[in-house]
Amino acid sequence: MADLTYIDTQIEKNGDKLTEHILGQLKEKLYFANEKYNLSNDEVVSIIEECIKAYEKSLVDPGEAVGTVAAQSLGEPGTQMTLNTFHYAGVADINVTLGLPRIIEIVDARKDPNTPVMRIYLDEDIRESREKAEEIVKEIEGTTIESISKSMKIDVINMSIVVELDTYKMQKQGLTLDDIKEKLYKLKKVESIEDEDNFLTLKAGDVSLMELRKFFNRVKSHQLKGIKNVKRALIKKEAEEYVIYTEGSNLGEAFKIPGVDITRSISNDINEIQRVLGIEAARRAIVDEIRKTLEEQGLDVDIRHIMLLADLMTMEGEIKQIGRHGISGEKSSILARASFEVTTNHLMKAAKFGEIDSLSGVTENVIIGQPIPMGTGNVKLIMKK
Amino acid sequence: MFKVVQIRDTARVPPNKFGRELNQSIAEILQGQYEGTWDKDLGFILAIHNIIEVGDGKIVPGDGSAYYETVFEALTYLPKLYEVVEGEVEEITEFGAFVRLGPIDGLVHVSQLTNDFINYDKKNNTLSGKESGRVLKVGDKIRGRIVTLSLKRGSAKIGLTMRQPYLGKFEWIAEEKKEG
Amino acid sequence: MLNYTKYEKVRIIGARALQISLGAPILIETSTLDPIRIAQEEMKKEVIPITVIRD
Repeated sequence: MADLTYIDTQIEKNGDKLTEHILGQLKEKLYFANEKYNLSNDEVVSIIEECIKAYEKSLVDPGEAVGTVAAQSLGEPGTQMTLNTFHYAGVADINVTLGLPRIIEIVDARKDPNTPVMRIYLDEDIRESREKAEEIVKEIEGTTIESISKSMKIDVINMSIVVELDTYKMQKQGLTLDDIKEKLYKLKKVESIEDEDNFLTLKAGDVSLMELRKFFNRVKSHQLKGIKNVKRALIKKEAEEYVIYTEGSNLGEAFKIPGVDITRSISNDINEIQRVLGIEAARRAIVDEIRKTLEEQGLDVDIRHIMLLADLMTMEGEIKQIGRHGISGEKSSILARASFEVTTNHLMKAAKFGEIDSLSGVTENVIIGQPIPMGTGNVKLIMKK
Repeated sequence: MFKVVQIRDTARVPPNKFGRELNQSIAEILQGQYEGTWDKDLGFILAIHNIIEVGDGKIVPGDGSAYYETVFEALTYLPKLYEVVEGEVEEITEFGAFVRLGPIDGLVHVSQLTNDFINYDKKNNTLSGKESGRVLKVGDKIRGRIVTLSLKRGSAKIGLTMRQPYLGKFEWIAEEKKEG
Repeated sequence: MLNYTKYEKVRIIGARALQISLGAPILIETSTLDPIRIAQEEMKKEVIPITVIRD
């Protein structure tokens, strides 16, 4: 059996040939294999050598058209994906956009995704308690006056709004009458609130019937509790812990709730992640979301293609879409831009401003019929003296 | 005026010239390319004689040749208006004398030879002054000034005068000097 | 020798084969007549007088 220190020195010796991450994994696996199979010193050396060989084989040569390969590798599976938008992913009745529409949504960096969803994990000490999870759900879930009332109507004679409260629902949400009144006073135009038994009467001052109707709608949807934008929250048990799934997303607010594990909780709204957690997190979210969507459809795309896409979208510190208003529209070459969309506009503008195309990209050289600067076209040869 | 100028240009060396001394191959190629040609700015390019610098031999796709960026010296001749030139009489005709200035000939019209009236002697093939008795024949060395110049692609027409102080056949100038 | 990428190797062999086909002197002893084969053999022996500039 090979000595552990021997493995260490052998790995260290090849430290410059592999990345740190691979070295760590290799070490771990060698330890494990050593235990199990009683490796000889020679075997350790040849395993490391094989690893280096495999690593070097997986490297890309400079000049390789990685962007084109990535585009094709993502585009082809796209043709096989369902066009069906909605799916119930994981938890019962939380709607999540999946398939091609979701991929398009990510790649377009849409500001308002169709189905924003959060997955909230809990701190270590309360992870396994259902009661604690329910408490946090109450904090998160949005509650309107409508959802805790038996009925709401407009009293046209007194020009007021009458709400019949449901005490059971109030209790369930942990709301008292005073809480509700306090929240309602924050609404504009509320002049007085009277309570009698379980009836609230809101007066809006001197308003017309039309205005009262509008006011009624505002009262109805006024949030008494919970995080803005979050409509529903569900608890699901995953392995040993309880996880909260929400419909609607607001990471910033969710992180303020005590008991929420901010290191693991995540949203599927990439722009929100960029705002709250930063661009690196957004890059990671793009990779994860695309991969998840593809995997869900049973498609296997090498993660490096997706990573390249995510890098391209986030490299300037903000999320840029792949399209007219993002990557394709901001190319420095006029001809490349013109070949994408609205050709004449780009050419006219370039002519007006006297722009110069340095013909350094691929598209431009294809247009003018020169060898493209990729692969063999990017090699400059000289005679040795 | 004769000039030695430095020129920077790319020399295309085809593969069949590879095995030899590079500078010599380049010199041969440049000589074949330049010598005896006429350039709008440089005039006649007469000789390529000194390769000063040879850069990297670039190879472009689809062509087996190597392209060397080179700096070399060339001997050029470009006549200028009102330039004083010296030369040898090459040919005598009824209307004047042709003088070799180097790569090309210039014409001294009979009216521009001397202040004298000029006779053409067909038998001896000479031009002579009626009063002064000065004679111009083939082989005489003269000094003149360019007064008309028409440069066209590959050819130049040059008209000279000798009717100015210290211009003319070398012997006449010597006489003039003696008289003061 | 520089560690050439696959594209560089291809370009060097291709350029050399073209030179050989156009009459450049061969730098190895060989029995082949195919310029590409000759270029490949020269590449193996590292005698091709061509190199790559990387900028």
